[in-house]
Amino acid sequence: MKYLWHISIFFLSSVVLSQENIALKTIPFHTDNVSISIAQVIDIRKEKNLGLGTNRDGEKVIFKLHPDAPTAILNFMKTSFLQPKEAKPIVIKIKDLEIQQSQSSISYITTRVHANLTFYEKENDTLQKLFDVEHYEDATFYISDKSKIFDTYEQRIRAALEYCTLSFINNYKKQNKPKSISEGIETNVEDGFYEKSEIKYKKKLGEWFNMLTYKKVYSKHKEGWKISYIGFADSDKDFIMPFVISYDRYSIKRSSLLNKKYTSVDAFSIGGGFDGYLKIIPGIYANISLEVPLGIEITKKTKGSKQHNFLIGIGARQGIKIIPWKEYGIVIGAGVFQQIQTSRVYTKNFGIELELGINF
Amino acid sequence: MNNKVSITILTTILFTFSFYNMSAQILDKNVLLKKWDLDTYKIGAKKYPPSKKEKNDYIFFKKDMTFISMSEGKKESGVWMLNTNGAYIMMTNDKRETVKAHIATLTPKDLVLYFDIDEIREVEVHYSSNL
Repeated sequence: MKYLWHISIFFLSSVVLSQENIALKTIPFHTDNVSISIAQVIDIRKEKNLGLGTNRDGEKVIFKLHPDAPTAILNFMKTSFLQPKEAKPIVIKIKDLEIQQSQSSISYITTRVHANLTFYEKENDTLQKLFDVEHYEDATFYISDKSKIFDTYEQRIRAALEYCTLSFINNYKKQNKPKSISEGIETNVEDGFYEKSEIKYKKKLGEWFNMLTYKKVYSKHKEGWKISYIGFADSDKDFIMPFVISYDRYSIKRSSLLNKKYTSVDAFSIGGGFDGYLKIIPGIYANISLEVPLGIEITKKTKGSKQHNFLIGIGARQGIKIIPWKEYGIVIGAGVFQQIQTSRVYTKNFGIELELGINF
Repeated sequence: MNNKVSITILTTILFTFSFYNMSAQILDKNVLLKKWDLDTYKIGAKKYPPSKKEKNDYIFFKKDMTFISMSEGKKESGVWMLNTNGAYIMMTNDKRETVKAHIATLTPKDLVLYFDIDEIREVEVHYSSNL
């Protein structure tokens, strides 16, 4: 029994804490022969790993640098800096170094390496802060290229480290220009690439939502339903433009046909147009849309003859969508709509919609 | 004796090839410093010539980290940087618009780029240089 317990613990820990090492290649980059040497790399992150990612077999694993982040980064840096004796010794502190991955549209996956490094000058065993740099190294892949994503994690880490170091060098060169040259020169040509404007990006990539929803539509003359697939990458700040496919069907209420020459009117249409979400608070989104539905209206006259009418129109929607659980769960929505269509019976339609669905 | 010579030759050849492969992975910034004329587009195995408008398109990477380019007959200028490990070039034009181009091939005569733009992500853009 005791052995069984140990075996279960072993398997459980291997499932929960499965780790994979990434060994950094040491490919030198251009340092403009700046006279510095990287003396030490210190890891001050709480978690000393790179975070969750997907390995070649498609399994979620925790990645870490081999043998550890300071050694891997120091070895990487040493190939680019010649380390002459008179070079200024620089110490790097790793504040953040992690990989992220998320579906960013219906056909693409965005992967990101987030690096936050601080560069210090070492003088008489004291560290003097010189430069702080934060960078997001993003790459976009087709969803079908999953193995390529894994194969290039290592390269993106190197690219992020190179960017941070080039950014530091750019700043260092500016600070250490002889006074006669630096007077009146406040910018380098490369400044455009290294300024801090990119901090506007969020640290975490937005999570991808897949939703299947069913809407019940109520209005004065019509009643019907609509099913939709909605896919979108979450964003805290940006206006979200989801991918939407929908099919809807409605019929005109019998009471609304009393004064008309028709006994029944049914219609179906496929929606297409512009849809947008704005995150109010996590889990609650304001939704507006403008669409051009295309479809067919089938009218049955009192004499019994059937007629098919091509439907085209324009519609607007304003509503709210609630997604209480991010991973898997339900979606609740409500809203109002306004529509004008080439219907033979009622061309204008205003009403409300109630929505229920699942996210997965 | 003959065996010894063969082993030495084989080792030399292997060493030369391994060195060639290693150096092929390292992008040399100096090789980029020239005018690259747009040569052809490639999607999968199929090649497409540039349109009439694009016939004289080029990118000229200068040593001072500025560039001049001609795109569909329109001249642009800006600054560029090379990320050797990421194997990409970033170009920012005078309107502060930035584009990232992944380097697939770089030799003294040929430059093949993939632009980080959704619509043309799969298109290989081939440039050539006579310099």
